Order: sequence, then structure tokens, then C-alpha cells
Amino acid sequence: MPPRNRGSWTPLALAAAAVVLMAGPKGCPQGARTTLALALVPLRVSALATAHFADRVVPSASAADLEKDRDFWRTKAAELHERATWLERQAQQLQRIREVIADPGVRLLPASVVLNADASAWRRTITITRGTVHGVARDQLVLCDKHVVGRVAEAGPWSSRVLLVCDPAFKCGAVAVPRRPSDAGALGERETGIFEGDAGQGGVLKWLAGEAAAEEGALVVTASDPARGVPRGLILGRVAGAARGRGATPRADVAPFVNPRALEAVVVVLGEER
Amino acid sequence: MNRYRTPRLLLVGLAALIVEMTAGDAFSWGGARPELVMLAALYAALFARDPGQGMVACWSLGLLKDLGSAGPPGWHALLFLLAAAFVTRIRLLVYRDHVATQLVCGAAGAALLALATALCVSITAGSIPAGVWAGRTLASAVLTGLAAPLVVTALAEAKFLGR
Repeated sequence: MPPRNRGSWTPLALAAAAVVLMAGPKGCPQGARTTLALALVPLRVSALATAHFADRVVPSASAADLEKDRDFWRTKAAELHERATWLERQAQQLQRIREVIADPGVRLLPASVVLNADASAWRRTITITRGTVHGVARDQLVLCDKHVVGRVAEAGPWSSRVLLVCDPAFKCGAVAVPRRPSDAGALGERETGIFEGDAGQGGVLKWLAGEAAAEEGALVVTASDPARGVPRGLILGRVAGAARGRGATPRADVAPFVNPRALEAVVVVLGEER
Repeated sequence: MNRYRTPRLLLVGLAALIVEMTAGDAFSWGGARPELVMLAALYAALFARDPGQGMVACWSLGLLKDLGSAGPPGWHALLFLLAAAFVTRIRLLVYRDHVATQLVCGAAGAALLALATALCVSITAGSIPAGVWAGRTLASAVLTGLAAPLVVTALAEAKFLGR
């Protein structure tokens, strides 16, 4: 077949394939996508190792073997110490989460963050090293201490993609708690709004009832939503600016406390054991 | 080197995706970063042996980008394919080796990609404030436009890609 003819059907076939992928069942490519993301991990590790190596002063050729051994064991000890610290931090984190999620039936699963970025500039996601084989499922909450990191968007067998709170697809009921405790009624009595990510560094708290206080600096926490497994009192961020804007209800810009770029470990709320 | 092998270019695209997803923040400005995978696709479209090769390469690079994103799979593949269809038609009318051509194509491509993706995200995921739309689209166009001559020239000179 001459190239001219081949060129005429190629774009149509490719466009049809792309549309089929977009219109197909959402669960279909999830496993493949999240598993393939794991393939980037060794490359990231080697990139970090190379950068680390470049930072170090290369020892001179006359360095003694004993010194090399000492350096090796020092590095080993540092690695083990780092591991112990990490485990200790995990335990402390779980303990703090248990202060909010007291129900012992709710299982918490620690997970490491392997990728802190999304290929699209408009989405805010991270990839974690836990998947369906560990019990992770779509829509489960992901936490760092008492702070909400996001929600599971796609779960592959061994890895999952998490929508961060600043992703535009992230939504949940939220309450603004004033800085002065005397101003705050009981959490359950306060007006509930909707928190949405803004695709930037934070989110927006909107649909607050007319006189609900959302002063600058106020803490924004989750409202109870048992249907979606969201407990009351998890921290979403701090009000960075409040304005009525053009709408009938006030809205507030919210800045999360958690820096997703610096996240190394998170906890997935698996829900109640059956 | 003005010819390339598609599988080799896909390897370059994979490397570009890794750089975007790991070290991309180091080059980000206003929340945007240079669209390196898109620049590989721009090279694929400008220097393809025939339109068919350009479109297959761009579609595959788009699919590669979809693997790393939470958006609908196939979205970037479709956008890159449309861009390739356009570029492969106009490439005989422009001087593809000129820095200005690469800069303008890179910036325009990044701006259109950003606008289309922002629209898609707004429809399928949730609204994005107008300020974020405008700022990030502009930043993405500037960064990608500036990177375009470097990336396209480097790829055009790379012996690894050729036959």
C-alpha cells in the first residue's frame, strides 16, 4: 500500500483508539497505569543516588582500606538508624490518627510515597506503594498524621494513585473552626461547607451558610460523612483568605499544612474490617 | 540527523516523562513546567519521514504521558495526534530548523495543550479558578517555548535516534 493511503486511515484509527480508551470503563486501565508507574521507582532511586554521590567528596586514592570499612559501616549504621526513626515516626503517626479515628474496627495501612507528581500540570496526585492486594480501594482517605492528604483515585495491584486535597476532583464536607476557642460552638453545630481543590497549592471552602465564620487563620477540618468513610475533625488546612465575592455565600481560600512534594509516608484508612 | 526511529524516540519520551515527574518541580514557574514530552512530540511531527510516522509517534508519546496522569487515558494521545496532524501538514511551509519556528510551535502547542487539558479537567474533575487557568497556561507556554529550540535541536542532532 502506498504511504499516501496509509496516512489517510492512520489518524482516524489512532483517534478512534484514543476515544475508546477515554470512553471505556474507568477501572480497565487503572491497574496497568498504576503498576507501570512503579517502573519509574528504580529510575528515581538511581537518580537520587547519583545526585547524592555527586554531593559527596570523592576520597583520594591513598585512603586506607580500614577507613573505607569504617565509612561503609557508618553508612550502614546510619541506614539502620534512619529505618528505626522512620518506623518510630510511623508508630507515632498511627497513634495520632487514632486520636481522631478511635474506632478500633477501622484499619489503617501505612504506605510509602514513590512519586510526588502527576504528568499533567493540572492534576495533583501522588503514587503510593499499596494496592488492591493490601486492601486499598477507590475513594479511601489518605492521611499524614491528622492531616488529610487526599483520596485514592485509582488502585492497582501493588500501587495506587492518590488525588491530593488540592486536585480539582477532590471534594469533601468541611467546617471552619475559629482560632479563639470561645468563638467556636461544638463542631457538630457549626455550618458545613464544601472543600474543593483548586489545582494550585490549596483549595476553596465554599457553599458556607451566610453568616458562618471563616476568618483568616481559622482551621478547616472535615465534617463527618459516614457514607464516604470520612470522620469528623481531620485537618484540611488553614483559611488563607475569606471573601464574599460575587456569589451569595462566602468562600474562603484554604492552604493545606501538608507539602505533598515532601511527603515520604502516608496512612490509608481502609475502613471497617468485615 | 533528520530521521528517527519511532521506538527510540519513545525511549526518549519515557526519559522526558521521568524528568517531568521527578525533577520537573526544579524547573517549574507559576505552577507550570516545561512540557518535555510534548516537545519530543513536536520533534516527531516536524522531522517525521511521512505524516503516518509522525502521527503514530505523537499518539504513542501522548499515551505515555497518559500513563503518568490521573486524567482520562487517551486524552493526551488524542491531543498529540491532532497536533501532529496539523504540524505534519504545515511543516513544508515553515523552516523547521529555525529557532523561531521551534519556539513558536513549542509555545503555541503548550498553550493549546494547557487550555484543552484545563477544560477537560474542569468538565471531568472539578472547576479550576480563572486566575490559575490564565497564569499557568501563560507560564507553560513561556517555559516550553524557551525550552523548545534546545530540546528539538538536541533531538535533531542525536545520533541515537537515527537509522
